[in-house]
Amino acid sequence: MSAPFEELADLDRLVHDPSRLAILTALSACKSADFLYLQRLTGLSKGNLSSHLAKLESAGLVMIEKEFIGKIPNTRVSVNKIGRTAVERHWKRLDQLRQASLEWRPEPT
Amino acid sequence: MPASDLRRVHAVTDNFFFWQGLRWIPIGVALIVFSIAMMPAVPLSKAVRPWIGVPFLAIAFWLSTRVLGRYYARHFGRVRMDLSRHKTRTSVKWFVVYPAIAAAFIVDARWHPPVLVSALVFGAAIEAYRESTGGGRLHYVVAAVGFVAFSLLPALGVLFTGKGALGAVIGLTGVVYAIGGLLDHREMVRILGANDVSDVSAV
Repeated sequence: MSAPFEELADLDRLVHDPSRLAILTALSACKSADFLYLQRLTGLSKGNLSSHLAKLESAGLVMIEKEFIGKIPNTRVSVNKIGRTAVERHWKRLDQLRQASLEWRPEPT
Repeated sequence: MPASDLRRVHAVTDNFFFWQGLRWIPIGVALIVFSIAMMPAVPLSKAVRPWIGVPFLAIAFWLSTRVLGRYYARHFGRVRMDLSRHKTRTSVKWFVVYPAIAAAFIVDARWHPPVLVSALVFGAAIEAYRESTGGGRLHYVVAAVGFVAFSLLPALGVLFTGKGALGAVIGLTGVVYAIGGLLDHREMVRILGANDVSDVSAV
């Protein structure tokens, strides 16, 4: 049996990246959130956040819509069913790995 | 960001409206004004006394929804809640908590029990509120314990029962709204990060 630490390498890197995981975790708790909220949450610059969102959108995990609220442009992001499943599966996997790491004992040499 | 923080992020996003604590401060102040107006020592006619808080409540709702709503949207962004996630909370609120509060007020006003039932119900309601809106925020546990302690004051001979005591319960609720709201806001800022990125011109 491989040690749980080795299985960390099998995690989906698209979801496991800290910023993208924070974005997907937040989006999985609501219908949608706007760019400002996600920027506040992650502390990323506009360019970096846009880049992360573009990756998630091209992977088919989130949907991005642009609209105007009054005269101010607003970018709204929502997670779709595939993205929601991906983040839920990822959290489950992390919990399993955490549990496995607590129970893991090194084999005697 | 540690997993525990991500869980808090999930809880705050899920209940974003309720964590916008500054919204509750004007309502708390209006309740305190209402409570003061209910005091027998305040020289007001019987006809005016119950209505004196109404304009303050109207102003508080305007500040809470319009002014502070705009402030939060501008500085923290917008989140659309997924209402389907909160069906149980909504049902319990309308069919259990609010009727229980109304019934407790009637019991305290009519039968003057030695323990303030309304304060007990408010204590339980605050704990239910805390739990159903993302947990954490230990100040609400303190507030709930405070309400339970307050409910015992008539039995200890410190507070008279009746309408005067109900006014005091409303005043205490106002204090909890105001202080709890301020602490909620601080907690939300801590979780969402203290960096103000409110330049929304090109997003």
